[in-house]
Amino acid sequence: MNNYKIIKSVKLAAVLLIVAFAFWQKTSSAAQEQQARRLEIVGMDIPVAERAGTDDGAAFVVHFIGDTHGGLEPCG
Amino acid sequence: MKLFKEKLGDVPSVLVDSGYTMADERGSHGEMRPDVVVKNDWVLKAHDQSSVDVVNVSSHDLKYYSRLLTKAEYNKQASSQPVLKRLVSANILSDAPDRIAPQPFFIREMPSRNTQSKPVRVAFIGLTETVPAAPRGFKFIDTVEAARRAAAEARKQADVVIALAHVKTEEAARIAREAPGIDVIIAGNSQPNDAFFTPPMNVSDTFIVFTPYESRMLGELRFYREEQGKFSARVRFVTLDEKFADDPAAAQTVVAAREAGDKSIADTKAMLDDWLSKTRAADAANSGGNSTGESSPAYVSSIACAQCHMAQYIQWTNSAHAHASKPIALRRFEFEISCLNCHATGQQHANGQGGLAQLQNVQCEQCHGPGGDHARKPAKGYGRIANPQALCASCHTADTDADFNLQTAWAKIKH
Repeated sequence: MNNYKIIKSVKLAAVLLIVAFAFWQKTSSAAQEQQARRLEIVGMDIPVAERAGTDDGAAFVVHFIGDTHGGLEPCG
Repeated sequence: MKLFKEKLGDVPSVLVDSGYTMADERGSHGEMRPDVVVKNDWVLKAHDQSSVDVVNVSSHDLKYYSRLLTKAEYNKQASSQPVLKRLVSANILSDAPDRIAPQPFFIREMPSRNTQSKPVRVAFIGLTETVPAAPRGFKFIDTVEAARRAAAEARKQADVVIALAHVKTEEAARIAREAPGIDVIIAGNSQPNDAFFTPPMNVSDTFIVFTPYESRMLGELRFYREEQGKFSARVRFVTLDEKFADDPAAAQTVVAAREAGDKSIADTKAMLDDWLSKTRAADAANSGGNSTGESSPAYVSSIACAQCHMAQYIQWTNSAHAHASKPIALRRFEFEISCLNCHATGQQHANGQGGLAQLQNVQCEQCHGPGGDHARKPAKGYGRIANPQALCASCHTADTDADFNLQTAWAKIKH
């Protein structure tokens, strides 16, 4: 009887572990995916009109520049 | 930027600057060179022209802005240069009553795209790395401590809090860890290995993005409404190359700025050459003990003093004072009239008359005063120096001569 209880407990623990691992893997890959979706580099191979992007439903946009050290070229 | 705004349609957008926008090449004594000031004046104009909405003041920029952030200058210029009202820094404070510190943060309301929602209030906090010596009238406080205070205050007034930080990568991460309440940090100065691009990172609850070196790519943060009034962010970096057509007005500004900088250098050199040639001629004329020109007060030069004070004259000729104009002749590109206050004789009096010093080098009369009357009618009482310490310190300052010691220096020129 005791053995049966132990085996049952081990089985339950194993199932819980598997579920926890599957959940962790899912959330972790979702986080990675989310991280990947957060960055996009728009290179020179893309036509200019596409590089500027489109209205994709964003609430607002912040364009940023800096470290120009007195250079005005980005303005031109 | 026009193309970006067109493509975005009715998505509200702002353009912000993370700092180190101004040139900061210095002259020999740490002063900003005249052509660099001209260049930066144009950068300021360009900020208004291209509608930069918020500008973070870095420690590099403060040298230039400190000239404009005096109460008098600010009141004069803020209406014609409205960008001055949009400067931010939470860790640059005013240290004198006549100085104006940038505001710690600036709140911009972004109109809502959904008529049922309220506008989004976005706070932009300014932060910079600190350097030991702030320009006169200003001081730096700890970046993280300032971030903590500003973020707590901004959080009360805004839906989204963004820090514009001119700091290195590890400092940006420290701000994210230790100053809660900041949603996004836009960090500049993030290239420890001269890499021009640093990928974004998440630290605690803060998303950190980095300004590509010299803005070779335009950064774009897109914010999306999520549930419960929260926002998520996504960043794009757009390569800027010649395929982007120049904006005619901005291109014109770039050309005008370059021409103004070149003209400033040419004018400076011409002014110095003219002064050197005139004062050389005056020196030759003075070798007979004549006074310089007809202006008052009259300077007669050390050669005239030598007629009666030969021992002192010989000692002077062997001192550095006798060659004090040499360095300015060698550094022509950084010359400005104020150099003559200490590298020539008589500029203090010439300043009042809008002219230039009449004699090269630091001659007897630079310290003892114009000697024309004394040379004509020698008498006791001329040239006494009431406070040698103050007189010497007017030129041998911490900026120009950090190791200056009055006693050691006096031993060299005692007369």
